[in-house]
Amino acid sequence: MASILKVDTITGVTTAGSIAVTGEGNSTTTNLQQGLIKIWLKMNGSGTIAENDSFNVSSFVDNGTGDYSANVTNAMGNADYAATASTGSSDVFANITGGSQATSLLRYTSYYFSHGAKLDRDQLYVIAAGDLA
Amino acid sequence: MASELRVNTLKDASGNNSVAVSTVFDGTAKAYAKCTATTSIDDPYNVSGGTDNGTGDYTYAFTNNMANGNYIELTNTTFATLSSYDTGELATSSYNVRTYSRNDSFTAIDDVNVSHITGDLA
Repeated sequence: MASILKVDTITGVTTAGSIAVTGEGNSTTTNLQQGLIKIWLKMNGSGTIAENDSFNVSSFVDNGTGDYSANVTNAMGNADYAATASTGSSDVFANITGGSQATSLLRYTSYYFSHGAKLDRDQLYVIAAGDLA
Repeated sequence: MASELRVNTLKDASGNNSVAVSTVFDGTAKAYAKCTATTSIDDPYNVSGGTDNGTGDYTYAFTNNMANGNYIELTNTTFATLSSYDTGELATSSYNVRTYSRNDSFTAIDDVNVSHITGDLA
């Protein structure tokens, strides 16, 4: 019989921040909280920067050509979370700016493939997984 | 006391924002890791360790295996270098990351790398 659970918050019983979910193979469990994406965004970084859509991002910063930051609404638990960036372009790539990742700030950069100079790009994508504070 | 809840659909208390539990299963990341150029791993999830196979060539082992080799790997670096992976080295128990210099030559280079894995657990 189909069932529906209506609830606003799900909390673990033994540990509030840990709920095991049985995986697709019906045997292994995975941790629901750890597996959830904590930050994602799509933005236009060309001209005046603008958000297309995002989750857990409060605002964006234009640090200069091809150099952006996103301020995080609910901070991460540490600065070692796994974040990746990409662009919607065949001649430009993006990544997270090394050494600039913080619990409440995520900095990312877009570059030309051909010579590595920074440039503004209209389609930028970032996602991050890890532990919330 | 530990408890188990069996349900097909989740909704908020107002009855909106419905999501099938199967979507939660399928849509949850199964592993991720931020790794140094020497395979040390910062704050991983479902990644037990890394092996340095040579310059810019890494293998990372899962704690809990994937169901098959058809999972999705998204990888990135944190500097002006590139990363990819060898599809022939995506196994149920481990995955691969390759990092490259971007300076027109695309030669292998050791570098920090980040990866996200989605797909089906065993």
